[in-house]
Amino acid sequence: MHWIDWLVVGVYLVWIVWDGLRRTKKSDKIEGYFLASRSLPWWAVGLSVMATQLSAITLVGTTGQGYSDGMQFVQFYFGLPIAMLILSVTVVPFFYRAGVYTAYQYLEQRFDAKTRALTSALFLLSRGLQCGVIIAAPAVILSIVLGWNLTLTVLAIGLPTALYTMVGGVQAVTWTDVKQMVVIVAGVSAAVVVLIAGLPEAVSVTHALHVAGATGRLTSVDFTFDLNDTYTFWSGMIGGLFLMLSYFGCDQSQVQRYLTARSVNEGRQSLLMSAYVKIPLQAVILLTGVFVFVYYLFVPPPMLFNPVHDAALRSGPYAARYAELERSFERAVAMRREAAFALAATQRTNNEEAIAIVRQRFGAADGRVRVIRRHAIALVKEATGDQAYNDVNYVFPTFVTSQMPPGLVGLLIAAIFAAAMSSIAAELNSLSTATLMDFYKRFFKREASEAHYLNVSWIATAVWGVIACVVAIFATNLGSLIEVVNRFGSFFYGSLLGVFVLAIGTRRATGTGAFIGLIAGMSAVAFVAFRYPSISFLWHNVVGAVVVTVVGMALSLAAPNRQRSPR
Amino acid sequence: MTDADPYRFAPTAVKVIAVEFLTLAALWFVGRYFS
Repeated sequence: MHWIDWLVVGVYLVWIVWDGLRRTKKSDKIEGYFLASRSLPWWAVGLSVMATQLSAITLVGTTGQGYSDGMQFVQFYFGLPIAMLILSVTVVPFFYRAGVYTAYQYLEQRFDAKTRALTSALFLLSRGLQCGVIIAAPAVILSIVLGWNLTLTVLAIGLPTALYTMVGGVQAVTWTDVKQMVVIVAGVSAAVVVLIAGLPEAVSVTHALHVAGATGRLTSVDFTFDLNDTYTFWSGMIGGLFLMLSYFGCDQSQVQRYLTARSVNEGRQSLLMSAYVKIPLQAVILLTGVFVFVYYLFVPPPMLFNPVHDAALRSGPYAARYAELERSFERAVAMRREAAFALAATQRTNNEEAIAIVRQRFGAADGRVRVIRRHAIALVKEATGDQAYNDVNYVFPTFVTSQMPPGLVGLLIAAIFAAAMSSIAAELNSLSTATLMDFYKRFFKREASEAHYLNVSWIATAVWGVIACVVAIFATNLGSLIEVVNRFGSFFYGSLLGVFVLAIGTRRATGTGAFIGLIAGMSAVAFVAFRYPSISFLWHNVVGAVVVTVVGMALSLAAPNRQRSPR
Repeated sequence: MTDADPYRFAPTAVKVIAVEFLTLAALWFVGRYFS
């Protein structure tokens, strides 16, 4: 990496840590440390909500998916706007008026302590592990692409984040999130400019889009109803709706964002910002990946984007087979390049018949390239034994480091750091909040000074930071990174949503009904996941939520409380 | 829009749904036009 890039990454890290550390105003009390004394403006909270959701996995994995499969991943977010709308009229006012620090605290007010403890424990378990995955994913990729030491990369991402989150609390998290979103958007914009500027003179942006469209990469809405397919309109609209309701309504890492808003309405507005912006933003990130595909039509791409596997296969016992594949790959890429130029030139003639012929030739050439790449990836799996290996996660970082000019490489690496750090900070902050409020203060020390609780909060943040780094260092073999994280969450999310539906949506639900319903919901999700593994994980959220609601309600009606639970 | 008046939330709901519909329509159109 050029020294200018090191400088940019260094300046970014110093700036963010400094900005986080100085956010100690009003953080000397628990309400200030965890909720910023409910004083933050909606736009800062809204950007923090988006930055928390947009992890490095999303940034790197999504651009890779854009390169490989096109825009179809955007359908995953189709349920998000409706989810935000529902949440802004349901849980936001409920949580805000209840004066809670955690979403699970509300469940004790509504049900009982055991339901609060179980849901909070599930959150700590799943988010604690996920935090490690969120650090590990970019660390593995950056260490491979840039040749950095993996452990040092994990520590470079995890430790500064833990430090400013520990010292500055939620204000540090929110205000650094705002700046990190700016860095991410600047980085993606710079990549788009470089990609467009890198097109050959004979190929305009419109031609480039036609060429990408000819491979189906711009098709982003698929109305097929198939439970086994994750990326369809219906999976996104229904399964995605349940996932987003669970994530934004029941996951403390997001709930805590909007609890810091100045008022109920500002909390609502912060969520509605995502409702308007999230799908277009994801579409732009995916389109960046599509432009990387177009760029590599005219500039020879590597057969494998993971340089470590590429080097290993070149010299090992698979070298002869790999070399043969690479010769075929180079021929196929040359033919595809020629066909892409021909397609762009034919587009200018407006001759429909000629365009159709050249499109067919180009599609066939691209198909050959894909088949050879598939063989190369299969060879990696055979050679390494890593059956979950997914080359798409290396596409964007390899493009950045090999094709972008000095300075911008640093900006993009900083953007990947920013995406990771913004998510980790929110998670550490919420893990610390749930540890203190739902367990320490609830079960171990009910009465103590603000200073004592603040000390415990600092220690909890630091301990969760260390746990996340340790998990990250040992987390290998991640496969398709986005799916690992989302799949993991889906085992709990739908069921948690069911508990909140019972809490907020019904008067008759009882604590015992909700508690047993939660266990039944998670058991049902585990059954579906293992018995019918082909069903997309997005539908697990629907199964969990429905089973918890039905079982919880049935039990509550069968054995109602003598005194009706307060609403 | 106030907390006490849920009916005034309806215009926001209409706006969110309308923006999503237009966004999805734009994505669908781009896919159709360039494919």
